[in-house]
Amino acid sequence: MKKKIITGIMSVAAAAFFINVNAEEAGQAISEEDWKLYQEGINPGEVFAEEVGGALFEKPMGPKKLSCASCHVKNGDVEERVATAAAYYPKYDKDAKTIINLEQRIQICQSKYQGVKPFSLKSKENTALTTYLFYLAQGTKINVDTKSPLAKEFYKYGRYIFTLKRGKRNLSCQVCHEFAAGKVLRMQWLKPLGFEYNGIKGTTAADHWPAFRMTKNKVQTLQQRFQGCMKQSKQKILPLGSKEMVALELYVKSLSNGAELKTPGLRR
Amino acid sequence: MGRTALIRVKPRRYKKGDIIRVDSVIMHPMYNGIIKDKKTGKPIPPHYITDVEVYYGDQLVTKINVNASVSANPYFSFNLKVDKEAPLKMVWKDNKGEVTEKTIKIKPH
Amino acid sequence: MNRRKFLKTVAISGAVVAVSPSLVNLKAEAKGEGLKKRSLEEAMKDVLKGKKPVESDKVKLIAPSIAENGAVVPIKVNVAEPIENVKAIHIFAEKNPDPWTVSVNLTPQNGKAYFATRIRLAKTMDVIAVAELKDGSMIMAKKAIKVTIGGCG
Repeated sequence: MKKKIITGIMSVAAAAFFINVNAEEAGQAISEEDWKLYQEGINPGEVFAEEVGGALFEKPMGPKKLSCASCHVKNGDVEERVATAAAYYPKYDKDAKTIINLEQRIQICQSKYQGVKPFSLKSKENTALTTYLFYLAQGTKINVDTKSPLAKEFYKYGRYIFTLKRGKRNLSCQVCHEFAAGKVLRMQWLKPLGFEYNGIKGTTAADHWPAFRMTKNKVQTLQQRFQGCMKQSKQKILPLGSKEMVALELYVKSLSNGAELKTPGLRR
Repeated sequence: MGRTALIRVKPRRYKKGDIIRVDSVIMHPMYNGIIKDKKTGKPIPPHYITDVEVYYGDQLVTKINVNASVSANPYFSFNLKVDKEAPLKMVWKDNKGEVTEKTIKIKPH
Repeated sequence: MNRRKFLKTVAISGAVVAVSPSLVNLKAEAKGEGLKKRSLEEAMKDVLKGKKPVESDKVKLIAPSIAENGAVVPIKVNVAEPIENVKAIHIFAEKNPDPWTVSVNLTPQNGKAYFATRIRLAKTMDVIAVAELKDGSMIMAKKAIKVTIGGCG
């Protein structure tokens, strides 16, 4: 009972914090018009995708000297299935026998088909290849499966992680991206991650991640971004590629099903 | 030669005499001598682009003098009157003497 | 300390500063290497060779009023003068340790007096664009840019 009361008080405190901020700071965040100025010109994320990711895609590796291109380029073009793959992950993978994301599929291709030790999930190389594939898939509509039995299970688990309050601040993804959506925190708008929630327009987050982070001067994948959120909200950081992260990614991405990929994105 | 750099023109198709926009990015950390290494806590020695030259054919058409407070992966955009078919070459130099060159073809329709 | 009150105070402070490491250190004393430490007046005097610029509507400085972060602030300058009249465009950031940021020397082959780039701002400050004209005179525009804390993570 005591625990419930404390949790209750903390939720109210968290909510009240946001209300206070909103009252003083209404309007004190970048405008849509000003945000457009950031999008003029070249996104360094695209340079990273084309030049770094693209180069790795064509680099022969392993005992058979195979590159991604060796298998996946037909008639001078990356085959459709691979060029649009980014829109469908996380999904069930026959080799992994479970649901994995694109970064993990790249690892399987490397170990099973190229015969090399795969780039780690936090490596620049894995991020570059992932970003390249997301770049190739620009314009493809996101279509993450949430209906088949295993996908359904992952979706539910992902939603659970999304709503689970963890860490010192007793925050969950839901607190900022649903309860406090529409308010301003630290001069940034808090927004839902899908199309909309409670009448507040969302960001369709999955359509612009991986993104080039201006303050970090590098491209981050969606799961890497989740880790950043967790660090800031003082939750224990979940490992890349863990079941929890894949489920969370599947859930968050499914919220944008139907949105066209605009990757790589450009973010603060 | 040198670092990864990209030159893009807008619009992609243009006529002789048009004024087009040239966008460029070079991947460069632009360390200003004050930014600290996260791991050691020590300031990273200055390493930044100092000059950019733009050649249209043989002609030097634009020269940019750059200080270390330009953002990392410097982006520069300027106009060009495309009155002839000629290569557009950009040359980036940094304070350590590293030089990067990138050339694209200007071909008015 | 009442945590809620503390957070509220922080939230309403006017000139909020970006907390990314690069910007925190831009505020620190320049050690002499890389960035020169000088005032806006000194930087402008050095770069504009003593000539004082006059504010003019002809210089259009386009930049966000609130910058999402201080590491990358898009700046765009258009000068409403024929290209033959414009020799150079200089950009200054008022409160950076070294306010001189970048100068572009233009020629008639550019077609228009336009330049855009992305710069670093250590904190909320004015950005000044100066157009150096063929006759030696200088015209300018300035814009106040608020640099935000940059949200979570």
